[in-house]
Amino acid sequence: MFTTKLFLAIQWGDVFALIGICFTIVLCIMALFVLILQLFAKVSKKKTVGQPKDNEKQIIEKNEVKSSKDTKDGEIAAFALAISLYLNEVHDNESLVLTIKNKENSNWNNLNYYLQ
Amino acid sequence: MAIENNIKKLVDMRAEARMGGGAKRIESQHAKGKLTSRERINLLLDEGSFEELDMFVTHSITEFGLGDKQFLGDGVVTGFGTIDGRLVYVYSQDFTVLGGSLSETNARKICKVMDMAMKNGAPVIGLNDSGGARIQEGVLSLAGYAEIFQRNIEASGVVPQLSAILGPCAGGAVYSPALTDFILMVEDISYMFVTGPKVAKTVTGEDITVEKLGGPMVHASKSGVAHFVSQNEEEAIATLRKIFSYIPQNFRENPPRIENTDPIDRLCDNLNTIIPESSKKPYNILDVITTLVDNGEFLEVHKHYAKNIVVGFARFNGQSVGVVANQPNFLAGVLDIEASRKGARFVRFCDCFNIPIVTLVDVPGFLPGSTQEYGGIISNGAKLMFAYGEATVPKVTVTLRKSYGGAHDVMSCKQLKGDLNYAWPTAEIAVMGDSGAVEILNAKEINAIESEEERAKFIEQKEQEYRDTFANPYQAAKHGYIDDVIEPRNTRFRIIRALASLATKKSMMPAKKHTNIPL
Repeated sequence: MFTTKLFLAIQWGDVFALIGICFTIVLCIMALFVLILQLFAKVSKKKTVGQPKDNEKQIIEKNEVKSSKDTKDGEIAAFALAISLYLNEVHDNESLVLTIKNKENSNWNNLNYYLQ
Repeated sequence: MAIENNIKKLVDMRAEARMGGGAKRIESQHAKGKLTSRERINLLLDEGSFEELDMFVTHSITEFGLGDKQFLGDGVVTGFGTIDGRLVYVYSQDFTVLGGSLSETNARKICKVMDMAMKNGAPVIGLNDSGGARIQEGVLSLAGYAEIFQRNIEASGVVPQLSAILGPCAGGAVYSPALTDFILMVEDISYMFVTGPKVAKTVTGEDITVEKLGGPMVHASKSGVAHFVSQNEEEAIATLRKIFSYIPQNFRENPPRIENTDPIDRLCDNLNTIIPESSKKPYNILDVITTLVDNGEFLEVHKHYAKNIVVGFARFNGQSVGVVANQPNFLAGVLDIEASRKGARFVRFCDCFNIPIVTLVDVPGFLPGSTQEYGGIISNGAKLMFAYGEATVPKVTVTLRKSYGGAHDVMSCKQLKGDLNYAWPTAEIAVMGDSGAVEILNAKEINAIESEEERAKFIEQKEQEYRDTFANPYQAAKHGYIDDVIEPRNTRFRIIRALASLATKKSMMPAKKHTNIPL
């Protein structure tokens, strides 16, 4: 009896609306997270892909400031690249399980029978 | 007392026989950096396994002062023993006895072990170190050689025959090793030629050293007579043992299978990126082979000869296989006369002794030009095709990149009874490469364009069209000429599974006396 009353007392419309709002918030946070990761990946790709030409290399070397901030950025870029590569990897996955159990000496191709 | 004396006589005679040509000659042999015949056998065989035969044989010639020169064993040590517990028959020529020269009795000893090897289905290993025929014996010595040759021929394809050249090997003596399956030579101490530098100088006026005429590197890189070159005798004998581990006792047996310690499901991720983006760029096929095979172990045969094709022994899941692969790092992996001969010889050896063949294809075609045509690229290329078509052992082929024209057919294609033919997504299976094809297919249009810039643009566009249509494995796959297109990193597992599926393969050629390979 008590449960039936409770069931009837609940405003189901509000409950569904609340669930919807929560779900949307979670979805937005996840989307934001993915976007940030992709951004990192793009930045790191720009840094790694395409080797600078010799003269560019010299300019970069001249202007290079070896600071802890730079190192930190580099590390973040490397992590982002690794995550990006992992997420974007496409493979033709196979079972990699060998189920064929060969007999040691099969009469089918016994060399004594069929080699003259 | 009488028995004691008899035993003492036996012991003394054995000791005398073991001294070969005597302490002085043994010392001289060592001074040349060479081992004695018995030291070689001891290194080759499992410890304590050697049983010597015909230790007390001597020659019966009295002419030219030979009557006084009697040595027990007569210059060759023969017998049987084991390598990793497997029976093997051995003969080892003793240079300390009359220069290891071949006499009638000496030849008879060699023939005896060869006959026993044939009766018992065991390989024969010959350790050659001989000055040649024993001239004092005349035609008897020549007959002795011919007896050995005949046995070499009869044993060919029945039991494996290996030859190590550990000293001189000249004149008719060269033909016995030449009739065997593999020849090993050692730097600085071995040489082989039919006629030596003196005869060459007299007959042709050519002034040439022993080393340049018949040294190990000459035969390993130019003539292709030597399959292996070692730095020293110890290395050569270790190589003999290694080869032995890949081959069976005879044609009715399978090669020994060893316990595999390399996971069969090991993914080879590096292979996904090993093919350069530009199809004109080379890469080292040895990197592919050593990645695929068990524990990266690959015994390369003919390493210095025809480097545009790589052949050798390896294992997949503990099973011995012969690997044949084009080498893009040398002449772009093109097939020429030497590469065709090298490949054909190896394929036929594998087929003789039930060793499955794994072929890795990246071949741009046959080498063009008059040198090749005059040299007989037609009949030599046909040898490789013949060898593949004739082989009844399991044949697994993987096309990595290029597979163009006639060379595509030659390299174990489906129609030459390739059992399982795979291709990587980077494979380009076509009649010819893009530039050649566009030159022919669009010749009229190209000639009609006057502006060089526009012509180049047109050619580039047509080449791209050609690449999109033909430079992929799917045309061949569409017709079933490629059984499957596989991701490079899965190749090891796919080869292992293919070999397992083919383990009970039975294939026979039509009845005949023998084939007529275009020699």
